[in-house]
Amino acid sequence: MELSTFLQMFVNGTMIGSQLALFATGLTLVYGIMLIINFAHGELYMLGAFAVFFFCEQLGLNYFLSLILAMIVVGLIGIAAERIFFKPLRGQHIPSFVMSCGLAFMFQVAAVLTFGIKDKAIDSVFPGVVNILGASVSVERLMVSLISAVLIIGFYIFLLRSRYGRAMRAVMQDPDAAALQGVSINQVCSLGIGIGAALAAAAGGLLAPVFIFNPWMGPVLTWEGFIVVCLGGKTSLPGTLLAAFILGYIKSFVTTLVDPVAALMCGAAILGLILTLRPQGLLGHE
Amino acid sequence: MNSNNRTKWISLIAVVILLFLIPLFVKSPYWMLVLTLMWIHIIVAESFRYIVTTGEYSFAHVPLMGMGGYASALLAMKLGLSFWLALPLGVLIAALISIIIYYPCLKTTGTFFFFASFAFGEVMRLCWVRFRVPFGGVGGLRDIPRPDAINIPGLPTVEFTFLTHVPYYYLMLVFMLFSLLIMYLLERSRLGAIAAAVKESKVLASFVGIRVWWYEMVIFVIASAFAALGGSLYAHYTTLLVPIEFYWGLGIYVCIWAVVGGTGHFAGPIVGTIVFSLVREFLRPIPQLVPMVYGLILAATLAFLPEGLISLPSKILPWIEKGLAKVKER
Repeated sequence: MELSTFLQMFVNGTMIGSQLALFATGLTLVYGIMLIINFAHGELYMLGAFAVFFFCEQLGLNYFLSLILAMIVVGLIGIAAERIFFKPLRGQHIPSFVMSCGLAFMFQVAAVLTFGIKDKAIDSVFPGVVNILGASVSVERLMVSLISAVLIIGFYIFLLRSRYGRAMRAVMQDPDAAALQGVSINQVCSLGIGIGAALAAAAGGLLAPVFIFNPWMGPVLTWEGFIVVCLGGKTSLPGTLLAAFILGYIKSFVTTLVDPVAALMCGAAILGLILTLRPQGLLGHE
Repeated sequence: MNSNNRTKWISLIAVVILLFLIPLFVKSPYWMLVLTLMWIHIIVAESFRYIVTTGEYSFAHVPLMGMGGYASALLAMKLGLSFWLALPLGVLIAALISIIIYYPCLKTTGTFFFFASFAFGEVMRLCWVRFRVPFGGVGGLRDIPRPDAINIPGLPTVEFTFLTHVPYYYLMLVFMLFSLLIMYLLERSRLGAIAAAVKESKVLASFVGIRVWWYEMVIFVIASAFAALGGSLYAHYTTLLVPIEFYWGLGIYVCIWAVVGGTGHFAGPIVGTIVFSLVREFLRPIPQLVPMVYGLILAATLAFLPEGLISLPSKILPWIEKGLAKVKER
């Protein structure tokens, strides 16, 4: 294998990994705080891409401003969904999973009715190609990884340094003990799903100029997000990051060297094996 | 209590007779197709609920349904077996494969089991996509043989062709009633009592000497065999099998039918399947809105009827009685 091919796969893997990290962080937050298997998370990602499309193409705003607006709008949608649909079912695994599927249906229909069923695309924001060690790498993909990294680092600073971040970590460890210490569970739930939704929207918005998107692209990513969450250890945020990059590289390399179906198989097999051999995941604990 | 039971049985028998008489009134081939598929879906949803009686939710259910279809279709196509032989053999093969899928998931429970069964089912489904030689790849299998004609001396021959809808209707109806009867009897038997104990608490069940893992596996395999039966019937009815049909999209639908209908009651998944199928058929002119309506029904049911749609009469009847009492007072 030539170095340039390897480098190309590496850059693609980094981009997929950073997207999965952004996306799965939200899933881990929602699962860790509320124990909800949120199948509508992929739809929030899809709505993020469409929100950027709306602000950027239809209102003619700047791309970065659109991205921030999309994160805010989708974050609010997430909070509203939690308040209306998930609150009555808090603590019940399967009913909340079924509810999230219903929510996913509704988001899809809403997107179809608003934007139509045709594939959409946004003009490239960072055109051009750079030459690294003989491999031509698009600037776009490097920038996507970079912005994702900035967002993830920002989220971690919030999580580790701020009062709300500490409250969130406390609820993830033990909701009852956190409530006894005066943490408002409702507030933390809203905050968790809001941040999760905003990060998913950022992932969607960042990929919007790279790939085409349509109202049905959510579920595939949701599935990959769950592989990442289980591999990382369900409620462990550092584990999620590690797992996201592992899966990103596996996807990139297996897709190029074998074929896309084999990459999907690898993902599913990893999920099955990690759950049966090491149920606590890579960095989680029982 | 006794007379109550008797009215229940009489109404049940009346419903079954009505189901057998439907083809006399419904002449439209389209509606026959809808009903025929609905009977298959009821088998699958009810067997999904049968696993839930032990407290676990399996997401390998729909891939195992597909496995039943693939197994019997391949037996019929490659070995030239008759449908009546390929069906039980296909179900048997799928049941054996369900043991292979269940075995690694032995130690997992709850959400872990949910995801692990999901993963192994998906690996199996991707095998059908990946390996073109027996399974036909993305395009799947086509021209699966239809059931052979039933030839009973003294009676007219029953043929299964592209144009005959009524024989298929009766075939699926009989298999559905048979599956429901078996699952009902199993639930009423000692096995059902053990399942209830396991659902209540695995630890307590193991303390009274129940081999929890063994009974869980037995129930999983029986339920998967019924799913495979549904898949096999489906394969020989549509004569076409495509891997994408057994994607977890259908798995989610089956889960929704069962949970929204009510997993706590035997009739729950039946009600759920019928309601959702009819909603889809009545909204046929505006297909893009169907998922939205599904989502609304589902959200309303989960929020206001946690026991599922099956508990609707018991919630509404007291209201009506109260209203009647008020009217009488006036």
